[in-house]
Amino acid sequence: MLPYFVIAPIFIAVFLYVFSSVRAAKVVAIAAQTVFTGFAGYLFFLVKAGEIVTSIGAYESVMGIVLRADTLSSVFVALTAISFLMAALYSYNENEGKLFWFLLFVWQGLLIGIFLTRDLFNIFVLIEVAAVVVSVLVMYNRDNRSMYDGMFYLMTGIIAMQFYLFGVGYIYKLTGVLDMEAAAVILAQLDRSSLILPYALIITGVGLKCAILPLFSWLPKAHGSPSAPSSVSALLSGVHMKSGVYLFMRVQPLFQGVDASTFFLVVGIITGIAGFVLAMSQNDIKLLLAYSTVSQIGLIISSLSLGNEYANTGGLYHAFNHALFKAALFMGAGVLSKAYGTRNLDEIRGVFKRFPLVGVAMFMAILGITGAPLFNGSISKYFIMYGTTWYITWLFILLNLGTITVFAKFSAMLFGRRGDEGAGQQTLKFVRKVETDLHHRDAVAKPRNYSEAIPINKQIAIIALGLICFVGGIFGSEFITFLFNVEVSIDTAGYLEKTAFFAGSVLVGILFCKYFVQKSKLLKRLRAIDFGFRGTCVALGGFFATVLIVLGFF
Amino acid sequence: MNYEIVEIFAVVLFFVSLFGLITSKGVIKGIVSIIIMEISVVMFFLSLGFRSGILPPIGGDVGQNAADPLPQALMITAIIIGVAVTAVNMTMLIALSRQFKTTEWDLLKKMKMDE
Amino acid sequence: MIYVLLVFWVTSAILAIQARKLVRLIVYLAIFSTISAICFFVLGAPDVAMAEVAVSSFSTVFMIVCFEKYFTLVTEVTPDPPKEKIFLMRFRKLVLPIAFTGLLAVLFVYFIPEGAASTYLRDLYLSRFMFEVGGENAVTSIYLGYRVYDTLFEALMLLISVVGVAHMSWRNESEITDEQFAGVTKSDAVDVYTIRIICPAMLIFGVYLILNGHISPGGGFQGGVAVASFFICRYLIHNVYDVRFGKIMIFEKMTFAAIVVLAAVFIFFGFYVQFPQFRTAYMILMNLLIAMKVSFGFIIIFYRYIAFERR
Repeated sequence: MLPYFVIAPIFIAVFLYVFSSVRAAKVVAIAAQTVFTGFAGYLFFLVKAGEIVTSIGAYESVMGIVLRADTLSSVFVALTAISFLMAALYSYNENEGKLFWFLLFVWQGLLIGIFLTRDLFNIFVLIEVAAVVVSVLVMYNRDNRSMYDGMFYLMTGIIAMQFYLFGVGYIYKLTGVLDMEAAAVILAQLDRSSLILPYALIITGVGLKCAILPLFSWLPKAHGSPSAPSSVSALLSGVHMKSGVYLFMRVQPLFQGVDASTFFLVVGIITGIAGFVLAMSQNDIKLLLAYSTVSQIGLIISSLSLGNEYANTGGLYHAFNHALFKAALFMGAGVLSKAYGTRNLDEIRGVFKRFPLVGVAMFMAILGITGAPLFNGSISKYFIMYGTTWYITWLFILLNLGTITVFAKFSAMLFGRRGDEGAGQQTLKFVRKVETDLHHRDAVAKPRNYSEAIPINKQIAIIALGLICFVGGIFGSEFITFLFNVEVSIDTAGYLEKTAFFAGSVLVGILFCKYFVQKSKLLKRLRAIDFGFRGTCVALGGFFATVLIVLGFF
Repeated sequence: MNYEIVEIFAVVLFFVSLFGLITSKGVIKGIVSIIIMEISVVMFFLSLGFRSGILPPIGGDVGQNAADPLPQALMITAIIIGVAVTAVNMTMLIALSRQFKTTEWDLLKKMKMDE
Repeated sequence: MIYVLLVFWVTSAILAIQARKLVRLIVYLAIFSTISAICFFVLGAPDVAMAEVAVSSFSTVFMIVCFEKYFTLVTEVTPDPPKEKIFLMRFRKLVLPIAFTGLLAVLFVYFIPEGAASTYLRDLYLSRFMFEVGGENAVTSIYLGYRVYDTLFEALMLLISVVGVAHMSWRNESEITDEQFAGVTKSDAVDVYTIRIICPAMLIFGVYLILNGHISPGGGFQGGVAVASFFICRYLIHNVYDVRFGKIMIFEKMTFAAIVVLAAVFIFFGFYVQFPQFRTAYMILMNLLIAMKVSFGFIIIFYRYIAFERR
């Protein structure tokens, strides 16, 4: 049954491309996504009864390719289905061609393939195809900057996957199999020294996919590319990044002899700090959200490396939540940048007044990502910090403080009066005035319409995502039990303590944002930091060497 | 001992191509280095289990002298993926040079910043 | 012998990376690909060698077209650096990267795990592929039988790249007229005569590779490239253009769908267990479909380059 979860979206994609008109394609796409979400939910309930393993073609498992759905992968499949349904709903009334829908469905199939497969080489193939699909989607509108961004993403991704493939070669050499489970059994018997090289190679490839510290420079380019469709940015940040995190988790059990958790704890925290510092310095809505993704990924990676049950579950739940609120934020940013005609954060004001529903939904997502009490982020962050030693707890609180500062800057656009829309709107008004003066017509004859109402389908998508953030917070521990089959309970005293910390950090964050971030010259200089292509190649080599040296000599 | 020397050659070529990537002035060198990198990985996979007097895994009577068929099947896939990526990269190269009138990384970066 | 080849192999790669002129780069890269194909053959992998030859000949053509365009588009030449700075620049651009990658290579070689490669799966495949999948060529039986799931994505990759190339090309229309195409190719007498002689041989060779993929080296992909090159040569000789992109794109997608359906029915549903007599037919049909798909894909990419990108 499992292969059809991968094949069906791709088959629908081909069907849409060949047989239907654009108008029909949209309707079929929404219907197919709805049905598919139902099937993903069905799979999720099936897996609750026990792991499903399908060997394709009923060959002996090590000889063929094996797909498996356990709790982890079925949660990710469900997440993919929900996110793509929302993205399809969001892009329903955009005038993208058939190609867009074709690529969207193919992308969905590939991501589900990554979540389901157990074969190391199959992962390589899927990721390579997904890289090309994403780069074509990023440069879908073919403007100057997105061309560069898409090419950068594709080339760095391909190079990283060569590292990964080399590592797979060493695993094959050592074990003689490509199946992850069989390989894990054989690799567990080998001594540590022979595992270091394959581990370093594979983790370099996977590390670029999850955008940890020196390897994240592709992420703001791919996510923040101005002309890329907003739904693509939302999916990239929401689901595509999670495939990297998922692989990171799947690779660790292969190399039980190599304990790199401390290394990745440190790398994750540094990534988180660098992410929010860079996010603070941005003025572009999409870029700010993109760098905030880097910061959240750092948090997730470090929580997964902590090694205790609670932090692991919290990290997973945070990855799940991050997909939801980041999707809502990116979609909201797309809507707002269109409505206001600018992507500059300083020029958008008064969203609550103008678009109350979208404003409230985005505010819910912001509360979610900052970990406000009653929202889903607070639950996941509570579990991440549960039972950690004091200095790690304080580092996590610092990370959250950074996130709050970033989103204090971000949420400034929600408030304010409708009138003070900042320089961009004033420029527009000026242009309009000049135009009318030029043509000597009366001023109200033909006002150019810069602020259309937000279409209803986009509102539904954003509000639904915002509401899930809220529901996921209220029923936090039930959700975790439901999703991951892990019994957890929230200690009320501890939760209140975290709430107090949150209130304190909000105060500090807003003050910090007001008196430092919006004035600082240093941050403006940071904004220009860009590794470039060669820099990323050096970073890949350097990261690889660091992993080798740290694991081999210490 | 035989396979190890082929393997080391593949490793050396892998890092030669990484050198090419690091020093690549423009997109073209980057694309060429990626092609070379892919072939070096292919060579590594094929070197697994190599010894002199090896035969292709065709027919039933090759026995112990046959090469390992699995890496070969994998590498055909990898080569096709490589050529597909090369075609996409080349198209992007033309598109970039059409729009920016240059394909050097530094200039591209600068132009992107100016926008 | 292989060591001598390998030395040449690395040397040609270094030359290609260091080449200043694009023409030299193309030539060195072609030499590099040829040597690697010979190496693959010596390593006991004729299928891979064939695929490499096919691919490298195509990428050489892509590059010639692409760089020709590049020369006409990009005119600026970076000025020579001042003499006193040359030493510093050499140090930064040559010595440091060499030291860095050299260090990486040394680290890599230091950590290489000892011991020969495991032959566990090799023995399993070699002893069982004839009974479980059929055919004589173990490589074909792996990528059409045991790992057909991978092959689907490999076909998908080509499909996506065709879509990507068509989408990112300069012009957006999917059809071009004969007038637009006329004069793109030149009919030089020597070229045409040579191609005319090679052409039928190429087609026969391609069909042979496709139909015998399951018993001898070759298969759908390699044969498909050969057939595609026959069609391309046909246009080079006659200088006509009667391909309709829209239709070929649709055909390509449909062939892909057919591949998926055939693989799903025969392998995923497990029909190959119940009907062992159809196994050979399945392999030939699958090779044929893959060849069709590959040749459609390459024809589209080639004409996209020649007709749209070149002007």
